[in-house]
Amino acid sequence: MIGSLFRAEWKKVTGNRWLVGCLIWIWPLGALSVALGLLLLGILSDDIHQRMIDNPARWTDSSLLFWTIPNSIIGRLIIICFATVLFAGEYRWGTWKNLLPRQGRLTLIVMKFITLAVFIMLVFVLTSLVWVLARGVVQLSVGGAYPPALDEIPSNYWRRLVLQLITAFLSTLIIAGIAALIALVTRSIIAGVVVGLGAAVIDGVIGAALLIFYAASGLRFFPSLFRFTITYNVDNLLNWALSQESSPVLSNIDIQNNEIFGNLKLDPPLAGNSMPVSLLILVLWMLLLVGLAAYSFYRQDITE
Amino acid sequence: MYAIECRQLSKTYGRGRRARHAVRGLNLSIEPQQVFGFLGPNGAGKTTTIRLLLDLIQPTQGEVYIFGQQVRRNPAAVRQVGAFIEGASFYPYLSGWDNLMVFGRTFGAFDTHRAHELIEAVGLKGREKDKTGKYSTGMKQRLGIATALLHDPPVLILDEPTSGLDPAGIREMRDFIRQLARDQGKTVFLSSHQLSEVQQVCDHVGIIHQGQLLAEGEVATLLKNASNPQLTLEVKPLEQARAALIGKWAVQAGSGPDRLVISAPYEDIPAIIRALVAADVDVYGMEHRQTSLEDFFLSVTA
Repeated sequence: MIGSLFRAEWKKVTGNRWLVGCLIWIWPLGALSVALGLLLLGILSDDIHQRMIDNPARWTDSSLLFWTIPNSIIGRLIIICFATVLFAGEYRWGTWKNLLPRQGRLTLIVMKFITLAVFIMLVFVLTSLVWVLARGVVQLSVGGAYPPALDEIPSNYWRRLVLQLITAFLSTLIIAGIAALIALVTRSIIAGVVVGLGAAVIDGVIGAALLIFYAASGLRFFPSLFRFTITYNVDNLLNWALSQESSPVLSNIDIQNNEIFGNLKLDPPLAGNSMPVSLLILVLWMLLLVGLAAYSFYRQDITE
Repeated sequence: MYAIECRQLSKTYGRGRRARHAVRGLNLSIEPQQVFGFLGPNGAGKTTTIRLLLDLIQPTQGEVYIFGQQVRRNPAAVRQVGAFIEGASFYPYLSGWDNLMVFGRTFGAFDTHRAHELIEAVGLKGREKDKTGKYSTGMKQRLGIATALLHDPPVLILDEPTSGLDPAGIREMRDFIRQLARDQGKTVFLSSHQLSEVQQVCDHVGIIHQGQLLAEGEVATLLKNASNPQLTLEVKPLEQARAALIGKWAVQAGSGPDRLVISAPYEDIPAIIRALVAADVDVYGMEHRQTSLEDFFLSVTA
């Protein structure tokens, strides 16, 4: 039953060629295009050719590069657009009325999230593979090395990879949760995309807002709230993956003679979250957003 | 056990002064294998009722039961229903076949053999690989019926299934629906504006107006009880005929010369003829007209 439902959702996603072409396949194709561009530069420019030999790219770094995309602004915007079409599209095409007599509401919504997350993760696995292989071909083509050898892989590589994968997965579901919730409430693709983008931007600038509140009130409570935001915890996890220490909370708070903030200093600095705490906060965000989306759909009258 | 049962079903949109009662205290009991016609003018509450039956919207009051199972947020009950509402809606970027596959798999399984049979039965063979975005309204209607029947449900809810079909298509659809009830034992809940079509297909009807059920029952019984059928006679001499019949039946002048219109049940025809012959009246023609469902519908909803 669940497998069959997953295949139905998968067909709907992959069948929408414009959607996946414009928002999803651009990543592996983009990786391939950049690699081809590098190859051309390596062939045409002696300077770049020499640099590729002197400072060879590392496949371990190449394999990690694209996992940061779901956490970037561009990545978030694309996931929002993709998720909004997936959820609000059912209203636009009037297909909920065909689906609901066949399957329970919660099952349908949860399966949409699972399909979306699996699809995006697979695309980034593919993108990483394409990039790692294409970058290797470029290096070998210009006569350069492509380290490290398998027995020289840095000890923290797998830890970094796993943490980046988990962070990308959670981040994708959280962003999809925001988009889905808005799409289900507004029942419109355009409204869903616009409000979703607004929400993503708000999450991105919330640090500045908390700083303004701190500057106005002097209360440390406001900057400390930043530790619960999606942005901070994603950043913190990536920092743990890279350097095994927490990311500073609003590190830019020590501002001198700023027009808005004046002479603002957070002393002592706020302690960052540990890795398990950040993971827990992101999981809670994911459950909250997916849960809210499912709850709003569960209670909704389908009139389209 | 009823195939479909509504108890005191109500749906109100909005609150206070802005409240709009789309359905009010609807009670319906539809037996298994019945073909039930659900009639009503535009905005009467037909589609709202259908949405309530399918648990697409939640009732303000009352409950719906499918084969005794409460429908509200109970997917197991609704899965016994195949539905087609307010025009067929599909993923325009997928082919007809892929749409069937998606809806079949959403239910839990896709039977390709049955899908092929249904594509053929609804007359879409050869066009199933075309994208539904390029389908005509009639083709979408046909695919909608195939989709509703895909998981072989015992209950079918069809909202205006012949809308957008050409006359031949309407006839095919009518025969198809009859066949579904007669040969496959399906319960059919049919909402339509085509009253003559409903009269030909349905054995029971319900008429809804302003959210309330005004009449419900077997078509023949409803029409029989509604008013006396009319008998138009061409007779000479007219006054002599009128004198022979008046007092026993309601007699009015007809639309042409030497014509009388008499309100009388079918069983009274021999007595009328005998009375005319006894009065030495010559009978040149006779037409007996039964009250149609359309007459009945208009009289009830007027």
